[in-house]
Amino acid sequence: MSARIIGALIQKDLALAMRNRFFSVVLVLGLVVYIAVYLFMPSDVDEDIDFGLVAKLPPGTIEQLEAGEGLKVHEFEADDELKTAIEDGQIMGGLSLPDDFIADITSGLPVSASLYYSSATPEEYRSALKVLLGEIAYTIAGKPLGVEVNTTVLGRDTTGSPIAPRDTLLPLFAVFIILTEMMSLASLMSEEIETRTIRALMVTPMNIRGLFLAKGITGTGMAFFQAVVFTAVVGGLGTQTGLVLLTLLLGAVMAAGIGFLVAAAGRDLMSVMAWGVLFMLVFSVPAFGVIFPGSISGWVRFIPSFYLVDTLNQAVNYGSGWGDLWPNLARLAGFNAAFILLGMWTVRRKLG
Amino acid sequence: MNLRNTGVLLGKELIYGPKNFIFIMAVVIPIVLSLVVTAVFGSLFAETPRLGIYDAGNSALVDRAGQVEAVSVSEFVQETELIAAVESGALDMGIILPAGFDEALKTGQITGIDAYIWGESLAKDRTVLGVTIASLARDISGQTIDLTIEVVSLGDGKSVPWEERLLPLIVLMGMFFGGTMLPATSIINEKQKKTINALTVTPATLGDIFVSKALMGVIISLVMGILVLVINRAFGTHPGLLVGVLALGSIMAVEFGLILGIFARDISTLFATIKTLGILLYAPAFVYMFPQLPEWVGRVFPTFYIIQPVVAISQRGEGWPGVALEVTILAGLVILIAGIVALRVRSIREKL
Repeated sequence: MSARIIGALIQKDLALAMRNRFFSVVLVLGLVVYIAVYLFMPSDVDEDIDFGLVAKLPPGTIEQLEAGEGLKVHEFEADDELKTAIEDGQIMGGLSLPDDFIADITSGLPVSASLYYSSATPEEYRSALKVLLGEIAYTIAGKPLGVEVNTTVLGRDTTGSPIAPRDTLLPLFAVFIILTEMMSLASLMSEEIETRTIRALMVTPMNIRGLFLAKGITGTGMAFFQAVVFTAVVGGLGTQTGLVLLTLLLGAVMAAGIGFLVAAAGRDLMSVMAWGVLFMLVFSVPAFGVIFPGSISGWVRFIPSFYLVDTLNQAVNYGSGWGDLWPNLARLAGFNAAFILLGMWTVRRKLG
Repeated sequence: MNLRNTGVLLGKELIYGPKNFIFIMAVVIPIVLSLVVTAVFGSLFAETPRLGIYDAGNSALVDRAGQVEAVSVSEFVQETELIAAVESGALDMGIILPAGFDEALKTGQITGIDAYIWGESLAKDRTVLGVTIASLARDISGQTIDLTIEVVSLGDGKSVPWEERLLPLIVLMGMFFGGTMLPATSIINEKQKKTINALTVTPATLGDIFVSKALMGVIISLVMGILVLVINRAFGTHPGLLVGVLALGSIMAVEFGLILGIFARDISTLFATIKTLGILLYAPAFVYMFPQLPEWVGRVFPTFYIIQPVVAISQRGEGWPGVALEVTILAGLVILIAGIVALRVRSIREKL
């Protein structure tokens, strides 16, 4: 097995891919679109319920209301101002308390208040505002509830620095980019098998191991390059750079390994697509677990891409380091070795 | 173009098509996606905080919480299950109600409850859940004040539920997946196997071949568009007009597929292109998902002129006057793209 021969084969595959101008343009455009979609999504999360308040309250009451996390009170002088702010979309709703509200409530007299909201406000927000108004009234009246709540926060407390939805999508995008290259490598291999050029290669000084190495490097390189460009542009390399790069590389190697397996499993390009789509669907499942926490149970750990998704998510979104994530990397490497060996074995068997 | 030849070729496509993997995908995937996207993304963007309750006694709070629209409530039969659900992020908060909770409230005793909070839950969700629990406990305790809330809705906007916002996306996916992929893969297959050259030496012209493939795509795309609307019970009050718009949309989907089939050299290139341009095709659906986006953003994309009339007819009950402009633009675009396809087909014929 000569490095020169392997280099020549890699060069040939890359040259063929790049010579196809349409493919080259689409490759770049694909990355641009993924990056644009990511950048287009909101970069922050609105953690507070913003509401307006028209009321004559004792000093410090507003501060007392805002002391509880998640509330932001905007004070207005009159109902008209409050209504204008709601109609202009500055706030979704607000409360108006009459001047004698506190005096009446403390003396046990019936009280009334007005709740304004935009007609475009979702039902759950309207309902939340009504509940809030009631509790604010009790707070103002100084009527505490005889319940002691002992709270325990489970997991990382991200109050004040929540993860934006677009960042939870980042592992999914990266996995999609990598797995799409798996399809490309599988179809490249399948084409070589179908057109029998792979047999022609075997009568040259190239051996089967060299062929796999060359194809594997091409597939891994293409997947790794795209995933790195995407992650770098969206700021995913800002923390734990080395760890993220290694994870992407292992992901790209995994794509190559599965690519061999899929190429061997398929009879022709169409069946390669069928197997490829099946793998893509199954391997995307762990990424949905990041987007919808708690929606997927423990069995997801049996899907190898879980370790790719989880490592990327932990490193990029939470800044977890080598110490926390080395078991994931080790498992990913183990799965990669299994996929590559299995892929090589099946292709070799297919070639007889 | 010869109608008989086109009919024979279409018959061939209809007989062999269903055995094709892409055909099966074109039928199955939109239906599955329709169900998954609605269920999954509906919950991703829903802003209702999730509360879990483990009741060691028999508190009325559980039933009352289920009636509050501001929160989504689940009851657990084991404390450990509740804690696990909070830890995984399936719940924003889980509370454990001790035995005799209601009696303690009614007799004015200080009672304690344990609350587990998911670390990544938003501050506003924690607030809403906190005040909801307090409000329910207050109702049970009977320590209420005589408070009347006058609710005033401002503006004429409408809160659009997520099921409705997602409809444009799933309609487009239903129509474009099969409508684009079927003719594109069919042409690429014929090109790669050189059967397209063989066909042209028969009485069938290149025009007959392309029209038969297009008809096959239009049938599938139209059926899928109708099916998605039927599944989502969104057929509106003008079915004739709606089917007409869907038919124009199906033709556009197929025209894109023909262009892809002509330009893409192989399946890999097609796949890379779909990966990229697919997002552009579905872009107008995002304008409906996020009403805060200006409508002109959607108007830049050709598929907007399919989805705008579909939404107007199926969800707002509008007739021809309400959609005439968009449908006319859609028809114009369909003719324009057909011209481009015809030019390319002529160029291929000259080469052959």
